[in-house]
This record gives sequence, structure tokens and C-alpha cells, in this order.
Amino acid sequence: MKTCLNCNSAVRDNDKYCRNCGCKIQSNSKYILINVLIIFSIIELIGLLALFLASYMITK
Amino acid sequence: MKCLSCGAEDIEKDDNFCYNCGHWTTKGYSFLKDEKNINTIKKGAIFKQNTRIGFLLVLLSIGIISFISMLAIRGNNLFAPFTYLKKQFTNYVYGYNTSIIKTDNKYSNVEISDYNEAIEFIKKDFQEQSYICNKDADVSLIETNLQNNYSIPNVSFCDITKIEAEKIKNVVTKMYDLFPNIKDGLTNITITNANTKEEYIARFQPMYQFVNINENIKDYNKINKTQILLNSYYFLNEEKLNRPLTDIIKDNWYVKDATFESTIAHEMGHYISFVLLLKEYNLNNITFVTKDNYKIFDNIIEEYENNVLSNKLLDDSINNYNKKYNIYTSKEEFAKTISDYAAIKDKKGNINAEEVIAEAIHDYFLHGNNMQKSSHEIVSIIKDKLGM
Ligand SMILES: [Zn+2]
Ligand SMILES: [Zn+2]
Repeated sequence: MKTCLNCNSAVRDNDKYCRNCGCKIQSNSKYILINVLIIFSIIELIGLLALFLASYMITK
Repeated sequence: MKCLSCGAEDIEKDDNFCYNCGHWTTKGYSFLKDEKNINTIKKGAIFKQNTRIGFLLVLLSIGIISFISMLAIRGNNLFAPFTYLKKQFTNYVYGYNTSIIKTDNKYSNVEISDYNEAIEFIKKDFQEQSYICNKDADVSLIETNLQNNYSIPNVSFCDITKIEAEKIKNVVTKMYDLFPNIKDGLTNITITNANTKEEYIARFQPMYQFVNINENIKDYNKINKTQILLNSYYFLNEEKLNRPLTDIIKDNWYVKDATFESTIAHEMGHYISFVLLLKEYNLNNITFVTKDNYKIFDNIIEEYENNVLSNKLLDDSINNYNKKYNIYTSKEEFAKTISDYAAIKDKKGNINAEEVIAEAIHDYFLHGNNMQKSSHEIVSIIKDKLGM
């Protein structure tokens, strides 16, 4: 059975909004995407910093 | 029950919101009046998601700002780690050390207004490439000394060991000592990768069309490089240099006592022959090409490639030799007395005069006045032509 992403209460098949909290029912793919993007951004920032430091080490 | 807003049916009595339009129900109305309920809803994942989007945007902005500032601070050096990794990777894949320096870059639509700008452009091309070279202070000093002493715009020994750089320096220095007035023609002596690993040890390239090759000469001046290339396959791999030269080439191929480094003297021999040709045209180099001189430069290259001057020089040398020793020696016999390489024939079966001359100079470099009598005849004509 589907549950609401926001409040975890049960959601019926054709419901467009959660009957408990009123949030729009959405698949969790957008939610996952945002979290993945955040993880990538953090990795990218660390990589950028590493690149910056490494460029000093290599060119001395 | 029906929804107050959209009229959807089957709203249960426990529902706070309409399943169809999200509007609050009668029960929902009182539910919303309790702030605790609102806070609970706002703690849910969907509400958090909006804060996360904000966080993501902040992260992205920090990333962009950092990148721009790092680029401003480090310039192209910021990407040095990538070039370094690429170098390590290529070395690994090929199984031997390779060079990061390219001698076959080309540029177009560049405004070059005089000879000095052309020289500066050549220097810049190499300087921009050499930022991750192993910068041994002694090697850098050798490069600078060669550049300054013999007015060679760029000498790049990137990643060559100090011992090897020293050996190459000795060859170049000795060549300029033997032939002091051959300056100003070479644009660079540079380590690089050959097309195939064993293509050459060193190579003389009289005219490499470097800048604005495809542009109309009326619109753009052009730049040629006259370069000596050192093959990284040998000069960056000690285990190859430490083997005797005869491990890779036949005995007697080059003149006696030849080494990896002395083959640079052979290449400089080609350069000297090229300088002789330039002198016939009262020129020091073919570096800066304009609409006034490009035809002359084309002529020079054509003459050089057809061995016009070197054939004549060789014939004169053989004549002098035969007269002096009162014998008759054929071109092939004459060349053979220098080395097998000197006697190689072109496709038409003719002796390649250019190689005879280069080997004679190589012989002179290695043995001084104890060179072969044949080499001696060639070298004395060259010295004469150079006004020595
Ligand atoms: Zn809900
Ligand atoms: Zn409704």
C-alpha cells in the first residue's frame, strides 16, 4: 500500500492529495533526485578543493 | 460527504483534506487551528524537501564561486593535476615515459606584426605547455644558458634528467663552438613524442608551419618553426639510453663512437646544411613569413628538400678529394668511408647528399681533425662557406 511521503499515512490508489496532511501525492523519485544532487554537489566541492591543492603540489 | 471546494464525493469523516483538490474539510478546518498539527506537517519529508532545494542551490553557488576564484588565482595551472594524471596514465599504458610537450601545435587567425612577436609566440606556446615539467633547477639553468648563449628562442628539456640534459648540452655547446656563426636559425630544441616510438632519436625539421598556415598571406603574416626534436622514447627513459647505441642500430651505421646524444650532432649537421642554404639568400632564418618573403621561403624549402646545395657541396668535396689524393672515388665509395648511414640511397637509387654531409659533420664532432679524410673535405667547404 502507498503511503504519504510527508506524514506516512496510508494513501489510496487514486488520491491526488493526502487525506491526513493535505500534501500533494508524489512519487519519491524527485525526492531521491534532490538528495543525489546534494551528495554530488558535496563531492564536487571536495574535488574542487583537492584540485586546487593538488595544482600547487604538482606545479610546486 | 462532499468536498467544500471541488465537490468530490466520498470524503470520509476522518479526512482532514480533500483527496482530489487538497482543500481542507470541515474536520480539517479545526485540525488546522491547532498549531501543533501544522508543525507536525511541516516536519514531514515534503516540507523538508523544499529546504533541501535551497541547500542544493547554496551548494551549487558556492561551487561556482569557488571555481571562478580558483581559476582566477591559479589560471591554467588549476588543471595541472589532470595533465599530470594523463601523463601518468599514458606512461602506464605505453610502458615507458612519454613527454607532455607537443611540437606540432598549430594556431590560426593570429596577428603577428614582426619577427620579435613571432619569436615571443613560439616561446609562449612552449611555456604554456611546460607547467607540469619536472623543474630541476640545474636543468632549467641548462635550458636558459643554451637559449641565451646560442640565441635559440626555446630549449625544452621537460622531464629529462640532469645527467642527460648535461650530455645534450655538451653536444649542442660543442657544435656551436665548432661552428660559431650558425646562430639565429633554430627556433627550438625540444623533447617530444615521435609518431611511432622508434621513429627517430633526434630529428631536424627545417620548416614546421606553425601559425596561420591556412590564412591568406595578404591578411596574416605566418610563423614557421625550425626545430630539433628529441624523441621522448629515448631521452626520457634511462634504461634505453644506458644501452649501447648499437643495440638499436646496426654496427657502423653511424660514424664510429656515435652515441644517443651524438646523433644530435648529426641533426645539427642537417641544420648547418640548411644554414648554408639560407646564407645563399642572405637570410638567417625562415621564421617570420610575410607577403614579401613567402615565395623566397618556399623556394628555399624546395631547394633544401631536393638537396640542391648539398648535392653541389658533395660533388665539390669529392672532386677535391680525388684531386688531392689523385684517385677516382665514386659518390658511394666516398660516402661509405664516412658511415653506412651516409651511404643510404633514396628511392631513385641516388646517394642522399644531405645525409653524407650530416654524417661528415657528426664525424667532425666526434673526432675533430682525426675525422675521415672524406669528412674533412666536406667540413672544409662548409667552414669556407660559413666564412670561418
Ligand atoms: Zn500526508
Ligand atoms: Zn476537493
